Amino acid sequence: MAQREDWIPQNHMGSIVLIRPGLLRKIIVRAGHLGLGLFLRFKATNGYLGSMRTVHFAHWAFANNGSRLMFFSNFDQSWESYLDDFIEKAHEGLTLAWGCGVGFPPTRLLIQDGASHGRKFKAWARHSMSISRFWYSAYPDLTVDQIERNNRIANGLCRASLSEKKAQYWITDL
Amino acid sequence: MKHSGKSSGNWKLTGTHAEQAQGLVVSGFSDLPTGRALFLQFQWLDQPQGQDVQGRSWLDRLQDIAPITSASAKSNPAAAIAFSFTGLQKMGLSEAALNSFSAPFCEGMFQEDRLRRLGDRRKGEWCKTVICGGPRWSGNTPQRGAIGGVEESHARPLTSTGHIEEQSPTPLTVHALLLLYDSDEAAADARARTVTDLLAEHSVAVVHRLPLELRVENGLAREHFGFADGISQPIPFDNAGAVRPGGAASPPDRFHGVPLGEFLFGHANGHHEQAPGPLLPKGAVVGKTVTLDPHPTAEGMLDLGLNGSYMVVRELKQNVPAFWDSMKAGAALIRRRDPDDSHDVTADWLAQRVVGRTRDGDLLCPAGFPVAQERPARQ
Repeated sequence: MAQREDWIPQNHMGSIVLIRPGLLRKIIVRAGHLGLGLFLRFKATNGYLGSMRTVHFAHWAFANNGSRLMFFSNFDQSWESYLDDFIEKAHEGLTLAWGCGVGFPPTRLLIQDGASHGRKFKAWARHSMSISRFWYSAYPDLTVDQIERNNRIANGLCRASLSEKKAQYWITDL
Repeated sequence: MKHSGKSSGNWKLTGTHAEQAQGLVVSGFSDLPTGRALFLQFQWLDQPQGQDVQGRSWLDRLQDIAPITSASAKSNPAAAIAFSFTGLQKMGLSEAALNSFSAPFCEGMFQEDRLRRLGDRRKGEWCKTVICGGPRWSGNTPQRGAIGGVEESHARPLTSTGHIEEQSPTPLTVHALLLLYDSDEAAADARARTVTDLLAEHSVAVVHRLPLELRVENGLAREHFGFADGISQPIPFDNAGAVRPGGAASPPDRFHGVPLGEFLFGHANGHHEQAPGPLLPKGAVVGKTVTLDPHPTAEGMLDLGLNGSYMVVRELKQNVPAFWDSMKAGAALIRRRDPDDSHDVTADWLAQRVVGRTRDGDLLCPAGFPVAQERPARQ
């Protein structure tokens, strides 16, 4: 997998895991993903995923009649630092989303432990990865921070006028 | 933000941990401002490894003239030692023990994916940040699917895709690094000479050397461009009691506190687990005196790594004249474009903004507003 990574500033992770069987597990995982999706729609509206400033895109989907969980993501810099970010800043969300996977490190109360077992989680996530033959990146040479900055500059240019203070902040982006 | 130029925390390792860990882990030896780094190559052909006529090994002899400083007490002069993968291999460490080290150590700095990640080499070409002709020294760690032609090379299994990794051998192979710290140049030179002569008797050659300088001025150590260095030092903490903070027990430092396991094997790290270190199978040390403890979780294994650590050594070059020429040109350009409001724009002014700190290490506020202040609301 490492042979396919770090050719451009962005990398891609494609992973597919089996979901543990059982009706209760199925209800929990569906509700968890629905809740997480709604919460992030409300919370992550500024172009960043919480305090993580390296994620371009992340997508979970149920496949194979709901028996497998698929995850795709584009991110800046190396896979290791991406996973470290997840483990340190978003391990609860990650445990909720992936805790149903076969082989996931033991969890407590749905969101505790799990992904915070850094090394075990990394090993599991690495082995869950499968090769993506094709992946798309709109700006393959830019990081999330650079894209956001360009966006702020473009938005400023589109406005008819700016207050002095806002213009002062806009100019710091140039 | 003012600082004293020294570590803001006073911490020590306790008991046996302090005796087992190297002094370099707890101290930068700031009272020993000079020294020499000796890069060693083991040139003995076969075992017994570098033994003299009395059967004493090079490490025993080295301990007599340059004892490796432990973390338990101050020492003047001081010394530290580190081994590369190929060094440990040459010293006869078993394959099983070698494979228990972490992947970056076993793969080496010249593993092709690591070279690409670090921006050193892409598609068979050294990047322009690397000196002409490629690096001069490395551990020359064998890559997977190695096909020979490199000293130390032996076949390692292929990757799962059958890929043969590119070999990027350097002219010099480094098996160990010996760091000698002294109080003055003359003493450093004399000790480096004595050590070099002694090691030569044991077929251990010094193949590369670098001076170690702290460049302390008014209590501030400076890096080559002239900016204060070593400003922010971590202060390790350990809930199991392996660290004794200065004075009474105190909670982890809010800004500088880092779990001890991030530095030393065998202690709790930031992921709430014991930092995994190398292991030694019990059967591998028959007939030798073993002072290692059994590993707490790996059954049948000895804890080879306890209180040890990994060290990364990269030799970097800073082009000081080119940096300051570029700052001068940049400052001149700003003054020319905006002659009315740029009287204070000098090369120094610009360099401080490039680095983000004043030359003495005081923090500049990014973008002209205080750090704690939020950016204005989005439009």
